Amino acid sequence: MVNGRYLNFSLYRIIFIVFLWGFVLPGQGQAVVSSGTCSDCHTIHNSQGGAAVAFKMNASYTGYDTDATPNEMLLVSDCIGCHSSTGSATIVDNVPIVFSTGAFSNPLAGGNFSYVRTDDTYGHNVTGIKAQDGTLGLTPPGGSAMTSQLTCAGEFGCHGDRTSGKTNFSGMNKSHHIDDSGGTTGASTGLSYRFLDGVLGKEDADWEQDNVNTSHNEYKGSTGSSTETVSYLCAQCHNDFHTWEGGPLEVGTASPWLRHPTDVALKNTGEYANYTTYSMTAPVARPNPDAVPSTSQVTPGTDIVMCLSCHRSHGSPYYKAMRWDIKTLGTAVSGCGVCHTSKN
Amino acid sequence: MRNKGAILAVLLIGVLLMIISSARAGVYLNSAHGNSSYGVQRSAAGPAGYPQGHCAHCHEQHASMGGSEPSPTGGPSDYSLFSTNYVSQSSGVCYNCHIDAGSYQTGGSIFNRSYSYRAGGWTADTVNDVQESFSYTSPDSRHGLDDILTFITGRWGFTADSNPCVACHNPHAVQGDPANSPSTAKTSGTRGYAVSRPSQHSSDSSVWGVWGDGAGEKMSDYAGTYQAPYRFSSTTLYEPDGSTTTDGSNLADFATFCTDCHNNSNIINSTALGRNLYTFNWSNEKHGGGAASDACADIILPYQSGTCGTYALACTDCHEPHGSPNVYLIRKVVNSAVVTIDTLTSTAVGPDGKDNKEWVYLCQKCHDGLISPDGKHPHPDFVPPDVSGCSACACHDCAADYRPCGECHFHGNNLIDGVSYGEQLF
Repeated sequence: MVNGRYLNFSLYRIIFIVFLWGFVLPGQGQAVVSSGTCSDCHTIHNSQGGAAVAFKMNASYTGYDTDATPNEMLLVSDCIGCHSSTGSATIVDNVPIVFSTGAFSNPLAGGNFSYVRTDDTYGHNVTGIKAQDGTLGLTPPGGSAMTSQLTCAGEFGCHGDRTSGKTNFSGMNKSHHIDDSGGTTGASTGLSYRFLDGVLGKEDADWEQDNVNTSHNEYKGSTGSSTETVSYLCAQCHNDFHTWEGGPLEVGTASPWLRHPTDVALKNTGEYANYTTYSMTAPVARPNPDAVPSTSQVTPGTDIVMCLSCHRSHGSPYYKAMRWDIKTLGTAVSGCGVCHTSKN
Repeated sequence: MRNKGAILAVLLIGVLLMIISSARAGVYLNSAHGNSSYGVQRSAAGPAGYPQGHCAHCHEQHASMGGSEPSPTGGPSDYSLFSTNYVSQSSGVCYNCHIDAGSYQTGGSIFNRSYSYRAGGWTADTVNDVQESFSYTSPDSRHGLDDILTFITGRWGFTADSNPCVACHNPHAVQGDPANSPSTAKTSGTRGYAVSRPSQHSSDSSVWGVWGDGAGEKMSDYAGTYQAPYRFSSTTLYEPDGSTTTDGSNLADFATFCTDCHNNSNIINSTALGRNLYTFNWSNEKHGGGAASDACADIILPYQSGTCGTYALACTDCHEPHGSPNVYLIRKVVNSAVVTIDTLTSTAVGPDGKDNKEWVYLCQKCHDGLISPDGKHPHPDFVPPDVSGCSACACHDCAADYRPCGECHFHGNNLIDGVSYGEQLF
C-alpha cells in the first residue's frame, strides 16, 4: 500500500515508517515480512472507528478507496493495493512498487505494470491493472488458451502456489512470513525466488532499483530441463518458446535453433565469447546463483540465456516488454548486440 | 563575424557528430541488409512494424509476432529464420527476398544483376535476380548449391544445416556492389563489398567481415601483374567500376577468395559435370600467379604483349559467380565483348566456321590470331614430346580439324594426352 492519501492520514503508517527505519531497512530486499506490526498488512475486523480499513486502488487508478469488503487472510488490501503507488518512488516502506500510476523513475527489475496501461504489448495484462489483451485474448503466445485472465498469483498467476483453485490470496498464503534469509531452496513459495514457486535465485536487496551490475538479482538457469529456473516458469504459459519445454520441434535442442533458445549456455565461441561484462540490459542466468564468481562478470560457456535476458516480467516501455527499445534500429541492434556482439 | 563563427562551430559539430555516428555503425549496420534506408524490410504484418534493417525482418525470435506467425507461415525454421534456410538450387530463404517478383521485401522485388552487368557494364543482360542466375541448366552453367553445401559441410565451421549462399556471403556483412543501385553498373561512387571468405567463416562478423575492403585484399596486391579488362564496348573505361583505374586497386582479390575452395587440394564434386572439379594451383597457372613463358605476340588491348607472361587475372575477369548462359560459368561479356559458348563439340560453330573451336569465342577476347586465315590457331610448330608438329595431325584429328581447346587448356593441366608438356597449359 503506497497511497499518498493514506500515508498522510494514517497514524499506523507513521508508526510503521519510524519502525521501518530502525529495524527493517538494514535487511531490505528480503522477501520475508518478519518485522513491523501485524496491522500493517492485516485488519482483524476491517473496521477502525467504524470505518473500513481495507483499501483498493480506485477504478481510475488515481488513488485508493477504502473497501468495506474484507479481504482473505484479513489483509488490508490485495497485491495491487500494496505493490502500487501514485507517487514516483518505486520502493516505498520497503515495499517494491511494480505498478506506478503516476510519473516515476528507476523501475525495478521486473519493470512496471504501468506501461501495459498504455499498450497491451508492453507487458502482462494482469487482472486489476488492465483488461485482457485485445489481440491475444487469453492465449499466451507460444502456449494454450487460459480459462481466465492472468493474475498476480495463484492458478492463473506467476507468484505463489499455482495449483488449481489458488487465487492471489490463497496462492500466496503465508509466503510473506517465511524467513528466506538463508537463501532460496524452492521448498515452498516463501523459499522461492520472489515467491515464484520452485524457482531459485538470489534476490537483490533493492530489486535492482540502482540498476548496477555490481549488485543485482542472480537468476537460476539450467542447460537441462530443470524446473527451478525462471525461464521454466515462463514456459508454463509460453511453453513453445522454452528450449526444454518446447523441445526439438519448437525450439530445437542445439544450433541451428528454431526459436531463440532459453536455458542454454551462452556460447564461448565466436562473437558470444566477447560478452564478459555483466550487462543490465541483457543479463544472464547462472547455473548456481549462490556461487557466482563475480556479479559483474559473465562467463561464456557457463552462464545461461534466459527469458529475462530480453524481457521484463511485468512490463517495460518497449514492445513485448523488451528490456530495450526493439523497434528502433539503433537500440535494437545494440540490445541484441550484448550477446550477438558483432551484429552491430 | 560572431554569427559566422557560430555557424562554423555548428557545422563542425555537425560534421563531428556525423563522423561519430558513422563510426558507431558496425559491420551489420554497414551491410546491405542492415541499412536503415534500403536494408531488409519484410512486408508481412508483424515485422512490418519494425524499422528497415531490423533483425526481425529475417529472424523471428519466437516464430510469433502478436500471437501468430507472420507470413510466410510454416512453423519455426533453423536459425530462427522466417522460412526454411535452404531447400535446393531453386528454393531457400534468400530467394524469398532476392527475386524480381513476389519478394517478401517491401516493394515486392529485389534485383541482383550478373557480374557482366555490374562490373562489365553489359546492361543488356536481362537476368535480374539471384534465383534466375542460379537457374541456368546445361549446357549453360551455374554454381551448384548442393555441391557447395556438400563441400563446406564440416569445413570452417559450416555444417549440413548451413546455407550454401553463406559460404561466400556473410548475410550480416554483405554489401551491395553497386550499393542500392541494382539496375546500373558499378561506379566508383556506389561500391560495396559483397563477399566474405569462406575460410574465415565465424559467427563473429568482426572476424568474418567482407573481403576486398581492406589492405591486402585487392588484386592490386599482385603488384604490376593485374590489368583490368575493358568494360563492355569501351576502350577507355575499365572493370569493375567504369573508371580509368586499371591496377586492381578497386577490385577484391578474387584469386585468393575463390582459391579458398578451388585449389590444388580440395576435392569438389560437380553434379552437373558428373565428376570432381579439376584441382589447380592458381599460383602456378599462367593466367594466375605463374609466369607465361610462351611467346605471346598477339595479345589484345588493354593487355600488352610486352607485359605478357607477367599478368595475373582475377577469376571474375572470365567467370560469373552465380550462373551463366555459357558453359563453365564463363561470363557473357569478357574484355569489352560478348562471349557465347553454350556447346563445346558441335560442328562449324567456331568463329571461323570450324568445328570444336567455341572456346575461341572466349580466348580471342585477349588472344589474337586464333582465327587466322588458314584456320589454324598459332600453336608452336610442335608440342613436346611430339616432334612432328600440329599440322601433321599428331595432336589433332585432321579429319575434324581440331580437338576442343579445352582438352588441353584447362585449369591445372600440364599434360597432353597424358604426357607432360613441361609447363602449365592454362
